[in-house]
Amino acid sequence: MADLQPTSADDRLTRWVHEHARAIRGYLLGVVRNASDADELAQETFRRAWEARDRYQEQGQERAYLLRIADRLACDRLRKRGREVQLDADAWQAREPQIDDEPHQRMDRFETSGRLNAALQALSEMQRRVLLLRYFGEFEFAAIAEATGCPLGTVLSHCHRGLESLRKRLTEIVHEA
Amino acid sequence: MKPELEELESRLRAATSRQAADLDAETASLRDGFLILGGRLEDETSVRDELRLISALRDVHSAEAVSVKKATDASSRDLGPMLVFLATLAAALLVSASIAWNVFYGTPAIRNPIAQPEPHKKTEGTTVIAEETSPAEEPLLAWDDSLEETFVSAQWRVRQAGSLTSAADTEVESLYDRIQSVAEELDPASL
Repeated sequence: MADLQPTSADDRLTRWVHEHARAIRGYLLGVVRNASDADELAQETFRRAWEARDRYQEQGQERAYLLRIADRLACDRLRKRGREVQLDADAWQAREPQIDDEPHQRMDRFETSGRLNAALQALSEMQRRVLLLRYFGEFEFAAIAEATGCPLGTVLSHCHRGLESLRKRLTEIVHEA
Repeated sequence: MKPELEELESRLRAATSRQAADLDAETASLRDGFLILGGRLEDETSVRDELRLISALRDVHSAEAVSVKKATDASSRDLGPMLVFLATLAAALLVSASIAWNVFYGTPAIRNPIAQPEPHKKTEGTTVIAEETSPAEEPLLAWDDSLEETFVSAQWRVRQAGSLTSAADTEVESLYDRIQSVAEELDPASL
């Protein structure tokens, strides 16, 4: 991990975003499954982390610190919604297409996105949280249990079922890859 | 922890590890789906998204800095009337304390400004034992005299009382002399 004492506050904020924005937004996108919500929550995550930066003592654990904030915000958002929101194709395609993308590449991307959407939709909220905390934060399962408030056995069970579900739905992508 | 749980954790740890490792076919197939999902989600955030996020955070940061400055200015402005009020209150208390001091510890003239001391009357055959005080000599006291002025006035009155006593003593001595001379005149022996 990089040093936590950069030259200026702006540098530190910029470094945080460069190092962790992809992971934080990716996590949020996977859990809330809506691009505009993910953008908003990512901004809120960094803002809160920035406000509490003086109290933050766990040096070298920035990613985990940010992911915990993002996880709480995502859960709050899902609770407020009270229901699972379907990820619409436009939201999933929020990423600007690369200029050098060929039409068939765009089509591939669209099809892949559709499969990913279906795979994500098949996962429960807890399965998504467990798998994505493991992927983006490389949390130990015990830490995931602590963050989610679930027993370790339950976390392992969610992880296993989630992986099985992904394998079933992403087999074609795996083969194409 | 139960052995089967430990085994499951170990297997899942390998299936969800981002570092390549020697895995059995079953675990490897689980890991493929996991890596594809995470990788695609990560790729959804472009450089443009990062820049937009940095810009938004800077806007929030600068807006907060401005709001903190405004709040500080506003709080200092709010203190102005409070300071004026406190100063007025302190002045009023000081004046009240001064009046109270004069009422309870001041001279009788001040305690009862209406009752004026009677002027000394001249009587036949007697000399005036004290000069009337001239208004210019006696310190004048008013309702807003300071404590120091009250003390000066009190000292002046004490001195005046002392001078009255010494004048009376002189008069008694002269009377005594005159009585002595009359007694000598009436003494038969001297006749």
